[in-house]
Amino acid sequence: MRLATFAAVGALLVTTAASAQQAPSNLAITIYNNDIALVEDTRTVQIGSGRTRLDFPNVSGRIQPETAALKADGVSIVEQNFDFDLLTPVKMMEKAVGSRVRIVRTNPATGRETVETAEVLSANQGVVLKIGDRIEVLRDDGLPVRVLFDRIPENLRAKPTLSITVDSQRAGSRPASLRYLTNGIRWSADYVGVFDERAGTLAMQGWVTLTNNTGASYTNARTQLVAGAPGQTGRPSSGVRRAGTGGASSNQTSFADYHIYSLPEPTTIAENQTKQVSFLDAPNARAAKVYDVERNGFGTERFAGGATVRLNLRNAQDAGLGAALPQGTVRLYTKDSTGRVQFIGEDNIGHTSEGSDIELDVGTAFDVTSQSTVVKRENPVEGVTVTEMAYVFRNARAEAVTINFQQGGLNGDHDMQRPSIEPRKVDATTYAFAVPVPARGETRLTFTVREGKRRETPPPR
Amino acid sequence: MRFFAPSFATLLAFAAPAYAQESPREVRASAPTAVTVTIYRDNLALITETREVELTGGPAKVVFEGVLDRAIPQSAIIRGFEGAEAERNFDFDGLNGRSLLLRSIGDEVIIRRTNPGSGAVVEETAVIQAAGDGVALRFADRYEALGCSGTPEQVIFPRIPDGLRARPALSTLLGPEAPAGRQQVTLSYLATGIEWETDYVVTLNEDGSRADVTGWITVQNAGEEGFADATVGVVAGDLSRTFSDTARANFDRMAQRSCWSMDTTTDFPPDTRGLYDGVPPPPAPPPPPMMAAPIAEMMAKDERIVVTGSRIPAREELGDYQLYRFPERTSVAAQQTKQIVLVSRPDVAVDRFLRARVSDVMNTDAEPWGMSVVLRTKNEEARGLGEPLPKGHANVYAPHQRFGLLVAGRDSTRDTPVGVDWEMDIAESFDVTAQRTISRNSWRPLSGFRKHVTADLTIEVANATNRPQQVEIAQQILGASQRVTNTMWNGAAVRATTKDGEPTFLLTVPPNSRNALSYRITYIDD
Repeated sequence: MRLATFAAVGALLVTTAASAQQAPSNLAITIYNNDIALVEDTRTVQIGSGRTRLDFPNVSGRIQPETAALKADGVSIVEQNFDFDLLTPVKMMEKAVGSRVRIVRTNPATGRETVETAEVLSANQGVVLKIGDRIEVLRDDGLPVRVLFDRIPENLRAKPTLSITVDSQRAGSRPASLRYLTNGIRWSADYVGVFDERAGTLAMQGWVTLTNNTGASYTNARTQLVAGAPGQTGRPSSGVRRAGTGGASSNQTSFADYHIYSLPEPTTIAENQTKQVSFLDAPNARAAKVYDVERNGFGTERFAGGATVRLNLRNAQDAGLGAALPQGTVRLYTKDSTGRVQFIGEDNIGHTSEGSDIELDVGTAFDVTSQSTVVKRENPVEGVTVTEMAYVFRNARAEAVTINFQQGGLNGDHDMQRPSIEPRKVDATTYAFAVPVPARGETRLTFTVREGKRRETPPPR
Repeated sequence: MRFFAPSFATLLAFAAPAYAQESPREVRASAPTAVTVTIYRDNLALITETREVELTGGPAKVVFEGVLDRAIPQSAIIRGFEGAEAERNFDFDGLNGRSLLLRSIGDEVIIRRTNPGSGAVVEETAVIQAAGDGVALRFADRYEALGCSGTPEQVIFPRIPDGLRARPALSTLLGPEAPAGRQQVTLSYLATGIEWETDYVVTLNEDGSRADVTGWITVQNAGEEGFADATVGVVAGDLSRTFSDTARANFDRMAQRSCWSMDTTTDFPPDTRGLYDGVPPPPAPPPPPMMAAPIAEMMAKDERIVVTGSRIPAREELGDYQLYRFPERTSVAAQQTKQIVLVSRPDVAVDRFLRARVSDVMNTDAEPWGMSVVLRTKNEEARGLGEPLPKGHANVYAPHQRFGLLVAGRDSTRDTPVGVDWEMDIAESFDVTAQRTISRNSWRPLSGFRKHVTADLTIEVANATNRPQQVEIAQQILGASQRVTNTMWNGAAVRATTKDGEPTFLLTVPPNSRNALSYRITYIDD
């Protein structure tokens, strides 16, 4: 455990060899949806009496330093600094301006090395050195010259470091906890669903995916995931219709408007790693495939377009599911004729409480299409439009299908006239038609809609 | 169905408490014994590898090395460990100079210097103090920077840091219920960097009534990794995508070694104000990968290529898409474009005609304009087709008396199931033109903001070829209650048919002739 440690050292000393470092740490991380995590690191540290500086190397490089807070018994904070002045050769030379370094020249013919002392005058566009009373530019002749630095400034760090100066009433070891907010740690839920069309089931697996780009690793951290983003409006929960209220499962508690999930075991969130922890295994969730076509208003389509293929699920125990599902991506697969799984599409779900319906977009059907034609549009009197529509639904598949067709965008004042298939009125401006289409065949749907207010007396033509 | 609580029990059994966690035994899966690649149209492929794992039973960490670096790790499905999987890790950091340095910060390494004059070799121990942006070394009595002195310097690492693998690896932790013995597992995951498209070659006969149609699957692998001896399939269909994930390769960080300013008194950077322009321009980017067009050209100049059935991929329905499986195992190399015949149909009956659509009746045309050359057929057995035709690019060739086969035009096509028209608008005609004259355009107000518009127009159609031409002229719908009347073709009454809701004139234009179509249109602008 090399990273995510912190050391307590004396005010003037900067070494990492403090005994407190060996103390076991107790790391807790709470990760929110919007790229913010709360890190709490508690361990026993040795703190001397009076003013002491505590260094915390290896904190996240994306810490929000103003949120850092240290808590320990009998200790008050004097000041805290976050140093992100990283140690680089450029910085080493820049900080050496005005001081002395040693230079080692190597004679390329004989190999003889000569050591001289030089004062660094400038480190900008060439390093200018003063050697005795001569001025030269480092390696102006291209010959090898090594530069030896006796020391490097102590505020240059190998890793981002938080240092806190405290005033301690007494000396001795005690538990101290450092808490801060950082960016760069994310979590999301990823679902894998294998759809079996014949059985009408979706085998769902859920994984919590943790990613860490903070530059630090968090070892054996107790991890909590908060579903819901503080101070932000979440992504629109596409495809999810909420119904009923959320039910809390044993390890998942509601806190204000958020759901909190605790990972069952401490976990290590390493830098530059994607980690997934399994949280859901529902091998027999019931799922129904539907073909949807939705049109808003009336138009003529010169080409046939594929219907949208969707899967409908119910997030309920008796439907093989029934859990609060955090927002995430569902990747859908199905088996081909050889039994291999093949990818068929993906969709996002929002935070989905138990009892909700889930609607997943799979993709566009190749062989089930629709095409619309405005057969006639008349304007008999002011404010009245009569539109005759024809939709052709085609099915090139070997089995009959039913297409759920929705005609929306109607004027609130309207008459639906002579529909060739009896529709269901969804709302004031929308109708739904269940259109059966035979195998390798087509179905023509026609209707006329009269829109607009009726007048007492129609105005003259 | 389990949700956190049961997995809690699962994990407890093998994951030690927080302060003394031991990692479970690591088991390496074999290299893939079989690879299946399913390629989608939208920069996506599903890789399925069959591998073997020797398990001793109980908790284990199974490592799949050599996963594509463009993998989307969240998409992985592992079959063969059902119910035993608890946690997965995907490590992006492959073994390279930079990852070695970065993971060795704070560790001791050996610095070997070779004196360029005497050849003497000196080795010294140093601690890597920083390696973020240039390397700082701490020796026993001093600090130095690495690679800044002009002396040959070599870093020697005592070992490979923990967790660094030669190639990106996916690993999965198995719980105590994992069985013992040799086991075959399949790992499936999505990766970006590979896609395919369809290219059609349509070769018309002498009079444009029939055509040979060949569709090619063009697979392009833009990635740095390829597949040898793989079972390859392609899927035609528009999948719903979320793009919530990014493959990792895009974030590849370049190794850098920076030093302090190396400018000398004579070697100054170029003047940014342009007074000095002695710096050579950067090398030109490499040419883009070869596209399908040259192959189409090659096809066209050649006589008909006969493709036997056994070389055409087998098609099956995958959900609501079409899956084409390559007939034999093949390789898809890195940065390669590969083509295979998707469909080949000789002697397809096609309609070639010229089309114009009248979209307004306000303006008289100053010049005649070329009509669109349209090729249309119905995707059905009777016409010589009757196969799903995935969307793609079509190149159309036609014979010419003097120059042989020439490109007659090109268009993109849409996904066309059986039973639907396959249509392409391939060119603008040179020799068949139309010119519109508006001889009347007037309106009278109706109640509200409505007005009643009346327009008379004449469309002169000229055919400069020495063969008759089929012409289709459609009047778009411009308003409500639209009527088209007084329809005349060269002075004789003619009827308009309705096509896609529009009044449409289907006309035969004699060779080397000028003709006039005239009609009156009335509508309500509401």
